[in-house]
Amino acid sequence: MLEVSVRGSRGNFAYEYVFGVTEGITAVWGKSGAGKTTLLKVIAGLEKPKTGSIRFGEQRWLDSGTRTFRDPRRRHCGYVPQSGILFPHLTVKKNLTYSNRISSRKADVALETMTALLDLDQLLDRYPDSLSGGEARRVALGRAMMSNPSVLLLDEPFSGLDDQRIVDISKHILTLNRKFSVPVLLVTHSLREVARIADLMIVVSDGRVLDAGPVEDLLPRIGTDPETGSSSVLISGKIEGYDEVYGLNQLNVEGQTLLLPGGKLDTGVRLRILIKASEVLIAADAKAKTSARNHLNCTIQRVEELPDNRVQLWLGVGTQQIVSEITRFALDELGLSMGKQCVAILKSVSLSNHVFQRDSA
Amino acid sequence: MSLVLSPESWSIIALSLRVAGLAIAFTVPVAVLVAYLLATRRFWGWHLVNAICHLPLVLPPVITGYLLLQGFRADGLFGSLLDNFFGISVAFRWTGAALAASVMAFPLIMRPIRLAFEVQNPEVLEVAKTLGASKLTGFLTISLPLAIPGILAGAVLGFAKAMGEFGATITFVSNIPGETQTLALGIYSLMQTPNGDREALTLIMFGVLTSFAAIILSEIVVRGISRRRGGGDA
Repeated sequence: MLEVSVRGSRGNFAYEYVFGVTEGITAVWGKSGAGKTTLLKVIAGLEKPKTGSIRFGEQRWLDSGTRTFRDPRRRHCGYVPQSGILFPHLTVKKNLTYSNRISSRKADVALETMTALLDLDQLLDRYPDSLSGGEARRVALGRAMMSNPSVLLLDEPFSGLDDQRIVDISKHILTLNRKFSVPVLLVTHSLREVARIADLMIVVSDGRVLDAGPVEDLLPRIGTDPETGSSSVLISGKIEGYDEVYGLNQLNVEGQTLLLPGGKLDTGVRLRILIKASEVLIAADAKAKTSARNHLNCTIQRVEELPDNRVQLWLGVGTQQIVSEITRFALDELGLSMGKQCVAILKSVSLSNHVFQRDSA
Repeated sequence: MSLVLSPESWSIIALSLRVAGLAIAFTVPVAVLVAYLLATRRFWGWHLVNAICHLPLVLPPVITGYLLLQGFRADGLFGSLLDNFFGISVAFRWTGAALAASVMAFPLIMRPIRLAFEVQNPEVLEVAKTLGASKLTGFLTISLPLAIPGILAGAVLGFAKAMGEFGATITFVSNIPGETQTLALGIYSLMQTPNGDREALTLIMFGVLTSFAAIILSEIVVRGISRRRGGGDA
């Protein structure tokens, strides 16, 4: 739907972005200074590339061949810069309705609906600087939505927020994306946030797009997370029951069951779990008795040598893949090698810190 | 000591207020425009424009007055243009005093406004653009309102300066009672007059009081605005 192929420079930072985006939520992931914000600005029209083209559906936003450049105000991008940046001299209500007042854009959704959806009813008469970080982000999201955007562009929507606020904002982003079917591109440096919310991801480094595709496919390819120094993968499954006695949700992953402590989740809810290589233990067979309740039978697909006599095992679980980091000593002791069966042991407690709900319900 | 003002003093004060009022009304819009350009654009000749704007601050006022006189006398370059196109003559008129006050006050008015534009986060305007704002709309609905504290501060400083302007005024439009004799010129004349000291003193007190009041008022207004917005952007 959005097709980008551009090249240019901003100051002495040169960039070249080639990628396509479909509906859903796309995370633009990379280290700081990788050119993630510039990528958003190129789409919004706030940064003009030297050459290339940008197509959005039927519209041509940029075409250096025919000298087409669509002005930012005619692109209808819901751009939310880092930390929101509200208009400080306007109340929350006037911030929200800014686009409707100064242009001919009429929101498809009533102001009351949007304020109820984003929980802004109590804030309408307040000025931006009296808002908390989370409140300001919600207002900025609402302001972008009220301009009837064709795409939402969010720059680090979670930065500087505590965990509870991050959960809150990501829930709202999911809701907006699913309810109004507006595609979302969001910039983040955190793999955890990618895992939490994104359907697709674009990996950016040194002003270039290195890789793009579904998050589940890309995470294993990215390798090491610079934040944790460890590889991570995502597995996904569906809730199929709840153990009232022990307070455990039963998650079906490729026909096997993982137990997740916590409040009851509805049957059928899809979950995604970020699994870090350092948190996965390996047993040679299922006989080992441990306190960890989550055992996944898997096949060793790849053995990757790491520095310091460590190895990383890539393990197939049905069509999905998880990763475990162990010592070379353990590998030899257990007699593990390519193609062999083994059991991956996951601690429920550490899993539950990385569980992300995929439905906005 | 009597604080009762003579009719002559009243007319001096009334004239000063008229001159300063006209000067401010004329200068503030120009200063806003120039300040916005200087704050947001880097064009060829930027330094030259900036220097010209600040010149009245450092030039001896007599020289400024002399240059105005040469330019705006009936046969001067600007004087003849004004006369031919608008039928306006400023030489030795109260409007000339207002012109002198405008020129002298301009840098004082322009500087705080320029600062108020410079501290604005350019991303605020970028967001406005994506929300559908043209350049003009963005200026009118975002940049200008955010600069209001700076504009008020500049206007008050400029008003005080215009009220008390002396050197350029006396050189340009002379010291004509009822026409160009503003506060500072009136005080000067009274001090040259036998027994004029007491009357001069009341005018001086008036000058001190209005300057004080202006500064305190502007502070209150600016604070009121930034408190309503919670401050931070002034």
